[in-house]
Formats: sequence, C-alpha cells, structure tokens
Amino acid sequence: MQAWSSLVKKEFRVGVPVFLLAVILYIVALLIVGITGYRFGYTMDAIGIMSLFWGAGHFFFIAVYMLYSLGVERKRLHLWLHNPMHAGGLLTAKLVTATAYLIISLLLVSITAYIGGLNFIEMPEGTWFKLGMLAFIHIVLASIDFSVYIILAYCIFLFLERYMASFLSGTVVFIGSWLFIYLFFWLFGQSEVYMAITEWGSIDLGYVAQALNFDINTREFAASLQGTETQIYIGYYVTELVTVSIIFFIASWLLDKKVEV
Amino acid sequence: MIEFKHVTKRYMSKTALRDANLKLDQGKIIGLVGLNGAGKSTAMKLIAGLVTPTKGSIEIDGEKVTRRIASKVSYLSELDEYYAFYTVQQTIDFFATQFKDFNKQKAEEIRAYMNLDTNTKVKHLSKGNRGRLKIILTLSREVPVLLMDEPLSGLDPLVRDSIVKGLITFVDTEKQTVLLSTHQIMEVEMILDEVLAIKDGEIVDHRNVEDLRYDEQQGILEWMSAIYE
Repeated sequence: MQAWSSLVKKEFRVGVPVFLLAVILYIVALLIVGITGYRFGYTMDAIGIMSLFWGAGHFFFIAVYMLYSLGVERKRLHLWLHNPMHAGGLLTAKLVTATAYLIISLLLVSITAYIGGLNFIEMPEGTWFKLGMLAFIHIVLASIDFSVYIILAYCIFLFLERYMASFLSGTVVFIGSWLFIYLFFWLFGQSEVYMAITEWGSIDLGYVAQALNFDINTREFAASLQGTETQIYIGYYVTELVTVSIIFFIASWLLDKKVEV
Repeated sequence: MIEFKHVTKRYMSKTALRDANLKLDQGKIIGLVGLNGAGKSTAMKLIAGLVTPTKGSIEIDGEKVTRRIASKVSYLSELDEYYAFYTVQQTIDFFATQFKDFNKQKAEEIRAYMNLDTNTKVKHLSKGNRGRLKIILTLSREVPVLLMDEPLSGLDPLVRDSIVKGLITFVDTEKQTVLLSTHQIMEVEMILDEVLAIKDGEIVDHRNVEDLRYDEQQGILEWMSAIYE
C-alpha cells in the first residue's frame, strides 16, 4: 500500500501541468467572457453560462489527463514498467490522481457557475443543490468511464508499436476506436438486448433540468432552464460499471503482459 | 541462477536474439560484450521482463520471467530518463517506496561515495551525475540479479572510474549476480568473473575470465578480436 500511495504522490507531480493548464485556461476564459459581458451589462450572466459549458467540458478532463500522463511514461517505460506492482496498480494511481484534479477543477467551475447562474436562473436553493450534485456526480463518473476506454486505446497503441511504426499504430487505434464506438455504442447501444440489461431498477429523480434556453436580442437577455420528470436506471450504472471493469482489466493485462520497452 | 531456454526474440522482421541457451550462476560479475546492435540490450530487457521472448523461456531461480520479476531484478537502462521534477534525494526516496529490497542506508553510502548532491533536481544533473544516480538506484537494491546496460557509456574517465570502483565496493558478490554490458572492456576487465559474447543475435561464446587469462594467455580484448574478426 505504501508503494501505491507513493506512486499516487508521484502522479500528482506528473499531472500538475494538465491541472494548471485547465485552471489557467479557465481563468483566461473567465476574464475574456467577463470583460465582454461587462461591455453589454451582463457580466455575471455571461460568466455563469460560460462556466456551465466549461463544467460540462470536464467530461473530457480525465481522458486528456491520462493521454498526457501516459505520454510522459511512454518516454520512460523502462522506469515505469520496471516495478513489481500489478499494472492495475500503476494505472489506478493515475486514475485516482486524475479524479482528484478533476474534482478540484470542477468545484472551482461549479462555484462560479452557481454565482453567475443565480443572476439568470430562478430556482429554490434545494433545487440548485440537487441539480448541481446530479450534474457534478455524473460529470465525474462519465469522465472516469470515458477515460478507461482511452486507457485501453493507449495500451493497444503501445502494444501495436511492437509490430508497426508509431504513426501507423496510432492510425489503427484511431480507426479501431471509431469502429468500436459504432458497433458498441451505436448498434449494440440501441438494441433490445442492451435495453433489457440496462433498463431495470428505475429511480425517480423528479424534475431535472436538461436544457438551457436563451432568449437574446439587442436589448435584453434571458435564459431559462427546460426540464422534465426524469428517471434513471440502476441497471445502466451496473452495466457500465461491469463494462469499464472489463475494459480496465484488459488494459491492465495488455500493459502487464504485452507492452514492451 | 539465470537460465535461457531456446530464447528467440524478433522485432518485426529483425531477429535480435536467436535460439539462445544460457546458464548464469549466482555470485558472479559477468560482462556482456558485442558490437552495436548485437542483441546485448535485448538480452538485458528479456531478463528484466521488459520484453517477452518470441520463442523459448527465461527463468530466474526457477521462476518464469515476467514484468513483475522486477522484485528480483534491478535493471539499469542505457537511457537516462528519470522524473525530472524530483531531486536526487526524492528520486532515492521514491525508489525506496517502490522496492521492498531497497536499502536506503546503502543508497546514502553510495551517494556520499559518488559525491552527488541530494538537493539537485534531476533535470539539472549533468550526464555524468545522471550516470551516478543510476548506479545509486541500481546498486542499492538487495536483489539476486543486477542488470546494467551500458553504465559507462558517454561518461568521462573519472566518472567511469568511480562507477567501476563503486561496483567492487557495493555489490554483494556472494549473493548477487551482475550482468554488465559495455564497450569499455579495459575498464571493467579486472572486475569480471565471466564474459559472454553476442554476435548478430547469437551467443557465440561464454568464458571464465581467469581461465582465459591463465590457460589461454588472452585478455578479453584479444578474445573478442578473435571472435569478431
């Protein structure tokens, strides 16, 4: 455990550039949007809207982080892989670090989105909290989920480098990823089998906002939330958990047994 | 003991090692010699479990080699890449957490012997000092097998001398087997027990250095010349 926690500390150092870049870019975007909004008299509204979009963009945070972090290790695979720890341990150290950075960054954005959003979205405090928590948790979960697919793609890329040039390996993985997305998410994701294994254990969330409507003209600006009565299925979360666990296991196995230095 | 059983390693169309059979006994310092591209680094990586044989198998003390053989093998790469944001001390501390067998006291002794400043960041180290750091990290582990791929490459004579002396001082020759690849034959000849020659991916000879010296009145360089000419 001490070896793994020390690895996590190292990963925090490795990942600092991604985190700082995310925060700096956000501050720059805040300044640009804030200044532009100020000219038209809608500073906080503009900041709120931009923060909502920026928060949603955090879906990609861990995937980008993992690509950077794995790219750093690729230059020193002899160092990273020369370790008695299971590859799953090496990868989870990165995932945990990435999730921690994501939560910090998303908290920062969420607070700004809330402060800005107060200006143009009227909702009871309890609804704000419910929607905020739902969005926060789902962005974190979706970001982790997506990143596991990216980890697998990167491990396949490293594996294929044994047999072909890096560019070709990258191209094969890129095309393969799109094929996988089409087959798995498009064809299988819309099949009756998929619905049968995911649509069970429904939980009623009540009214949940699902869209932001804008009414903008030269003289005024108005925004409102559009929502519906929403249900989620436990089956969907269980299926996704099982799927990403399998994907993560395959990625770890590839890193342990097939990736070479 | 390290044992190669009919090991072949191919990279796409290139054969780096061909049907290698080999037994290396415990408690020896063994030189691995050969021209560039002969297969020395591949042999090292195979023992470290960082590449897998295309055919055959490798065992260390009866255990099949996989990546996780890192618990028994300390590997010094020919590459200089470490985590640049760490200082020398932080790098040593990090290694100490990753390997249960890492002896921090020994690391401190070797560091003091190598005269390496603990507070210097790795990114600010000269090539010579990075070479010294690699030696500290490799020799501080109390494992049966030490693999050193070109530890003297690109270093000035003073650093090379300190590394060779460090090997004599800090390797436990009773318990540890050292496999060392180098082009600086003359500088390591005096510490080698055995020498192993690789040519075009084949192990062409494996000799005891003392036998070579006394029975055949040959130094390693003359022996190598005979093989490669």
